[in-house]
Amino acid sequence: MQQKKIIIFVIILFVLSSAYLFFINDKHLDAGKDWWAVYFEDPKGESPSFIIENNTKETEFEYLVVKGNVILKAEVVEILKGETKNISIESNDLKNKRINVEVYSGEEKMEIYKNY
Amino acid sequence: MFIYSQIIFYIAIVFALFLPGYALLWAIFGKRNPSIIRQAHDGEQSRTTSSGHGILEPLEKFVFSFGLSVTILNFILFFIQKIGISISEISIVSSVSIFILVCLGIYLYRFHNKPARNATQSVADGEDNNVENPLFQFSLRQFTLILILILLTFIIKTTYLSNTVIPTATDMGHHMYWAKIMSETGNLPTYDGMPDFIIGEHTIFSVVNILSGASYFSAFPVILLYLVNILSLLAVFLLTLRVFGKKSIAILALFFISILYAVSSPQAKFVSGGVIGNVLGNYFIPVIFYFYFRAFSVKGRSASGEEFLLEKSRDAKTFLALAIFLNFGLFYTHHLSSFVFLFSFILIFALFLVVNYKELEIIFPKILKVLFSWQAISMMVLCLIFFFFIFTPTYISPSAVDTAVGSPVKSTRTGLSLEKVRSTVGDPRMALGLVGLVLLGIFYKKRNLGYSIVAAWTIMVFLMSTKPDWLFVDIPSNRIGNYLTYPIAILSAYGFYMILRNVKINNLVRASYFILIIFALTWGLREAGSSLKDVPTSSEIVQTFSASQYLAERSDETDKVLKDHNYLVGDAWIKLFFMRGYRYPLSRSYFKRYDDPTKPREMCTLYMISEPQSLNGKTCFSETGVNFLMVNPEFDSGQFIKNNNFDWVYASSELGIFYLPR
Repeated sequence: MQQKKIIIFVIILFVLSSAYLFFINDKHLDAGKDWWAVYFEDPKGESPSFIIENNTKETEFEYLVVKGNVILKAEVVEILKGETKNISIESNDLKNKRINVEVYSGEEKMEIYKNY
Repeated sequence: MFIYSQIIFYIAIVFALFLPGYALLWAIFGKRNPSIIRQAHDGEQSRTTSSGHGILEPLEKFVFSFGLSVTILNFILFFIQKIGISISEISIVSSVSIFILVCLGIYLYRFHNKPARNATQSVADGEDNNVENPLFQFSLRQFTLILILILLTFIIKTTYLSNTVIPTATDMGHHMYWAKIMSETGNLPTYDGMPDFIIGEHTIFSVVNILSGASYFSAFPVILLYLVNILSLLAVFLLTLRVFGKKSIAILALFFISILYAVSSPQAKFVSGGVIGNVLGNYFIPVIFYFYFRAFSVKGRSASGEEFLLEKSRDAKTFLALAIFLNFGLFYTHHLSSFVFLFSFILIFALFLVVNYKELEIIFPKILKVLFSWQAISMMVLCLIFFFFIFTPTYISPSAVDTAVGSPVKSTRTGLSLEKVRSTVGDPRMALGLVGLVLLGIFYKKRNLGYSIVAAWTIMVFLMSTKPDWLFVDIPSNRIGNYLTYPIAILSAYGFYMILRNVKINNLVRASYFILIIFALTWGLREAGSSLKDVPTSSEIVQTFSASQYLAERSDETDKVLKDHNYLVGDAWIKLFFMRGYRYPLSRSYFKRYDDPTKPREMCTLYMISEPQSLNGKTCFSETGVNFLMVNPEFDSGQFIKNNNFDWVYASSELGIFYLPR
């Protein structure tokens, strides 16, 4: 009878521990969602269209699309936490140019670019 | 949803990792309660006065059914693959169910329909089904202590793991790739011929994933290893209990193995780090020793009047068959643990025969009778057929043997210093373990194979880790040194018990006892305390996973990816997003590895990230075809920004992806 109690005790502790670890892992991964990113929709293709992914509490993002020294597009967009925003950019007359995408959110700035 | 996934996860574990072994034990032993050791009880001075060791107690069935299930599961998977059946939820459930049903059928045929004969047999065997084995009857104080030790073990380890459970560990990432291959392709992995990976390290994860749907990126791999680790502690408890026949020593062993250094290697750190082979090996080794001990606990009385421990001949043969079966389970799981086991095994039997050299004429026939029984031989033949004709582990190759055997040259393989051994096993355990070894020698019960097991296991692992050149062992010494923890915990318990047993208890002794416990606890828990200060870095790992997902969806087999191992968190897990081969993506390794004169290696992975604009870098890009680079932009973006050939296509604070158009 004592042995069965030991077995049951071990099983209960294991179930409780593992449930806690599952929960805490999910919580860690969720808490880790305090970042944002910017990336090209098609990294290999010609299109300079890009996506802003927001995993922060900040919802206001300002972006500038620059060709050489010319600003092609600038806009402030609102993106809620956990959401993404696709920004479409026309890809005309890009030969021998670099398209820079600069995105600002709070104090942070991210930049991506493509060389044509 | 969380509760549902939890229930499915536990059902998968019970079904695949406990039921097959439990069913096998039913088929072999039936529901027989343990036979009784008739003992004269004088507090802890219980002594066997008549025949009869138990078959298997409920706690033993619980702990050992896991190892048996893992081995059965491996054999089932090998078999269904051999006959061309894919590994899937249906094939696993049906084949495991068939195995369980066959075992139940055998049980019903052998035991259930013949109560009269079995009752008679039990009486004839000296069994009394209504009486519990005294060896497993604990006093209230002992029972409470066991529960407290188990509770503390769970608290310490779970607290540590809660900070490290996020899937970042490099080893775990590598292993889970192979497990995922099995889950996705339905085939056993071939490991591209790499001998460092062994099938048994991955089958249990794959099967639980297939049955439960638990994600490889969840806590489930760590939790499964955690279970193995806990069972290994109970295995040490059971082995100690059987060998010494003293509950106090077994409880002390549980104390020394479970809560002291509960976090350090090879315990919780190996669990969170995904050192799967070692964790499984540290479970299998004491369990296999247990079964050999039970198999060769022979009956008889020596010339000096010393009584042998007793096992009925039929049961001894069955225990040997189970030991052989579990041995192959270990061979299919981890080569280093198998190596350590085999070396220890040789010394155990050499020692046993040497100390009993005067009575070999009594012992040898008994050993041979067990050894050449149909149970042992048929099991050996079955396992060998599987090993050589159904599924052969990748490490069975001349090159792998050459790697592990020979005179060690590298500084990491020429042996550990005593200081290093001391830090590996811990001061209290080292001190008490040495005392235990000396006392074991003084009070040696030469007929008890268990004494030879504990002594030879310790001595052999110690020699393999400190003097590998004596044994032509060419394996990293610190990896072997970690195996010392388990036997030295048993010796510590024995030493501690024997010191107290032979000392008259007075206030001074009580005070010394108290100081010793405090000393052990302070040192043993110190590392756990410092480890708990570590703060998890979940943001980095989430960014790594998101970027990997992005690139995996937007690239194909023609693209070549190179990632950095120095500054990216959890980078070993990136390959699980691509699933395009174990070496995909390529990896810039630790910088020191490129400077290791004993192991020259390719330099392209270094050049392509560190100096992409150099001639070496350009040549490497051209030769390897690498066109995507995953780096930490804080450390490795400048060299790409300066170079107009690269596009920066993905940017987050912890991860940047650069693209080199062709």
